[in-house]
Parts: sequence; C-alpha cells; structure tokens
Amino acid sequence: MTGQVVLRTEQITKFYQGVPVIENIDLEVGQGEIVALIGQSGVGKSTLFNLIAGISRPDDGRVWLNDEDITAKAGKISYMQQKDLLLPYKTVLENVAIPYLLAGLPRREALARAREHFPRFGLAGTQDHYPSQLSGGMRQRAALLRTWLFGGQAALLDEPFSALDPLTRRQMHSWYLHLMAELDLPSLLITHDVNEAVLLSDRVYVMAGSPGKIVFCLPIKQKRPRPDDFELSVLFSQAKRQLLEFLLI
Amino acid sequence: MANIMVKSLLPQGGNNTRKLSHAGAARIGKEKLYPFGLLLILLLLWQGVCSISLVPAFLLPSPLNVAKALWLAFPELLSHSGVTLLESLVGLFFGLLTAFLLAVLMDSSPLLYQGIYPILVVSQTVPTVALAPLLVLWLGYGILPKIVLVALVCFFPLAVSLLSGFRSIDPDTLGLFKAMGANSRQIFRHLKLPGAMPGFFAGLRVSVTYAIVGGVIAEWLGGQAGLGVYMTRVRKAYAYDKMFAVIVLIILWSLTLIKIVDLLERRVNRWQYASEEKLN
Repeated sequence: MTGQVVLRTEQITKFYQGVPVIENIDLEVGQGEIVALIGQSGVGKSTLFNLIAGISRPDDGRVWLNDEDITAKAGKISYMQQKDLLLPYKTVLENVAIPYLLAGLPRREALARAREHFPRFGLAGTQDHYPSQLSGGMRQRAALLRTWLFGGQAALLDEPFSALDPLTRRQMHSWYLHLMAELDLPSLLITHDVNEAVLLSDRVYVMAGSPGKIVFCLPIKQKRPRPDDFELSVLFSQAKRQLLEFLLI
Repeated sequence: MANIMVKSLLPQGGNNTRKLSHAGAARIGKEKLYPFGLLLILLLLWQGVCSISLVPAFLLPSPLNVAKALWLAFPELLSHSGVTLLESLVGLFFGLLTAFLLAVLMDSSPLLYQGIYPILVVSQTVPTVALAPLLVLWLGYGILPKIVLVALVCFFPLAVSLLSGFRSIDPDTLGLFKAMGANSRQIFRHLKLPGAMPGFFAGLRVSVTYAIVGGVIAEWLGGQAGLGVYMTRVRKAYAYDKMFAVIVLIILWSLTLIKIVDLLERRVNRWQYASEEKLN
C-alpha cells in the first residue's frame, strides 16, 4: 500500500431476486495506485462496479471515498466501460467535454478546457471528427480522457481494453501506464485478462465463487514505471501462476 | 519512450476525409437517371394517347395542354399557393409543437405512456376527410379550420417518431450519464433529443407532404382562396387541364418542402454524412 487509502468498500453485499450476487466485498485503492480486480464472467464484477459508481445501492455495506460516505451516490467517481460510449452525433471534442458541460460550464469554456488535453492523450487533430471516424484505440483514449476530465478522485475502469485487438491492446497498455504515471489517478481496473492485471496494476484482487467473494489479494512488487521486458520476467510469471491457481479452480 | 509511443498512434499526415465524395456524386447522378427516364417515357406515352385522340381531350388533357394551362394560370396559382402554404406551414408548426410536448410528457412517465399511446393509435383511424366538414361547421370558413386539420394530420407521425427516438437511448450510455451525475434535463438535452433526430426527420418528411395535402382537402369545403378552392372552381367549370395543372403544382410544392427538410437534416445530422473513412 502506497500512502493513504482513497477508495474503500466495506463489507458490500448485493442480492438479486433474493439470491446474493456478491458478498462481503472489502477492497481498497490507495493514493496513486492501480488496483486490478480479476474474475470470471458472471462473478459479479460489474455489479460491484455499479455499486461503487453509485448507480445502484448495496443491500449491505458502505463505499468510502477518502472520508466521505458515497454509498449509492452517483457522480463522485470517474467511470469508464468496455464500450467507449461516445455519442455518434457529437464531435470527439464535444464528447470529451461532456463532464464539463454536465458540471454547468458554459459551452465555449467547456470545449476550450477539454481541447487543452488532447495532445497529452495522443488525440491531437481529432477534435472536430466524429467518433465513427476514429479507430478503436483512439476511441478508447477519447473515452479515457472524458473519464479523466470528469475529475473524480478515483477512476473505475470496467474492462477498458478488452474490445481492442491484441496489438492495439499492447500499445494501449504501454500508453496507459505512461499516462497514469503523469495523472496520478487512483484506479480500480476490472479485467478477465491475467496478463493485463499483472502488467498494469500494483495489486490484484481475485474474485470467485457464487456469490462472488474476494478470495485472494496479490501485490505486484515491481515498481512503476516498469521495464519494457517486465512481461518476460520471473516475477511476472510467478505472479501469473499464483493468480491462475485461484482462477482455474 | 512515452513520446514515441504516443506519436506512433497519431494519425499520419493530413486527414483525407473528403476522398469519397466524387465517386458518390457520380453514382447518385446515375441513380437519378432511371426514374427520370421512366417518367419521360410515361409522359411521352400519355402525350401519344392524347395526340391520336384515344381519349376525348376534355376528359384527359395532354401533358402539353397541362403545361400550357400551368403557364397561363401561373400568376393566379401563385397567389393561391401562398394561402395554402401559409395554412400548411402554420398547421405543421402547431402539429410539431403539440407532438413535441406530448412526446416529452409521455416519455417522462410510463403511466402516461401506457394510457395515451393506444388512444393515439386509435385516433389515427378517424378519417381526415370526415373530420374536415365538422371543423368547418365548428370553426367557420376562415383559415382556422384549415390550420387545425393540417395540425391534426401532421401531429401523429411527428409524435411517434419523436417518442420512439426518446425511448430508444442506449441503457449503457444512460448509465454512464447517471454515473457522471447528469440530471434528467441534461439527459434530455445531450442524449434523448439528439438521439431522436434521425427518426424525427423521417417523420417530418412524411408530415410536410401531409401538410400540403391536408391544407388542400380542408380548402375543398370552402374558403376564399387557396389551391383547394381553385381546384373546386376549375372542376365545376370542367377545366380539367387546369385541374391537372394544380395537381402538378401541388406535387412541386411537396417536393420543394421535402428538399428543404433534407437540407435541414443535413445540417442537423451532419455526423451521419461525415466520411466513413477512418483516421489511422
């Protein structure tokens, strides 16, 4: 754990039609940390995300952001999904500026402020295009920029790279790590890709069972920024082996 | 390292997004050739039938006679057109206003939706032609019954297209907006309204033609001026060449309005006409 805890769930439980979907979920994201949550499809990861994002209310337990109770309060945490969810009828700039517009900024100012961040996210020159004209990787970067501009103190990323082709995904991983080093945005990353979890995160939670529970937590001890050949190191394969043991029961 | 990575993902060179437009224009030109060609053949056949007097001239005027009638009566027809267009456009405006308000209302409450929607559908089976005399009875021979009739016929396609647009927003996008703390006014402004635009324009295209026809039908039942009034007069005078001339003119006005709607749509739904070509 590096420094102070930013985002914390406390004993979260959620029922669906009388059946528990997830049970007693405790997890923490510290300042500057990228934490991965890994588990098979249907284990309740996205349910947990909606609870943390405040879109739905847990049947038991609380969500804390710093010292604030944000249980069932939407609009506190930045949120990004596997689908980029860019609006086809708005330009990339207008899409990215949506958090500013929702916050009540005048349109002109919202667009100007959003525009400043385009080069940093590798999106220079795309401002006035429509999302349909962008490649999958660029659309995800635009979605990430929109997520970041929302300005939450922590970000939830729900399988953000899983819809991309393998090569683009590799490029995005590398780009994402460099970006995170700059932004210092505590992030909780949902994935079902063990490689992605080990490669990107400081800590990996494994979720398994029915109802879904946290069954394992593994710190990845390699400091960030990580060497380019981290994926080929002993540390990497050991971590991967440990995680797979819990996932392939 | 970071810079190289970011740069390699950037679009290379200038954007060449307008490349496809020329090929597209040529194709559209050819597509238009077929219907115009067919139309020309039909007109020639019609002219031929009239020229060899297969049908008496007073029953079926030839295309040339119709064109001549249109030319001679044009100043008169133009002033009648003004009246009909005014009724149609004002009626369309009020139909649109009502449709918009009702669609917003029905979208905001499932109860209202379930209650009103079936009634709305059934109301459309009421024949317009039967309503027109009643409206004249209630509202007199002035411009008001015409406007009301036009508003009634335009209302339905507009209300349905708007409503289905409002109700078809993507649940994931809605979830994202809620997670960003958007209120219902913002969701309407950024999601529902723009999302409904493509369907709305399909409805509007239908409505403008209904508007003209609705105005003409309302005028049949009485009034001082308008294409429908003119039509009734020339019919009673057995001047069928002028009758056909009015029909041609009504078609031309409908096409003009559809064209205006198309141009408007190109502005509003600009994104649909943006090049399909992707950036790198």
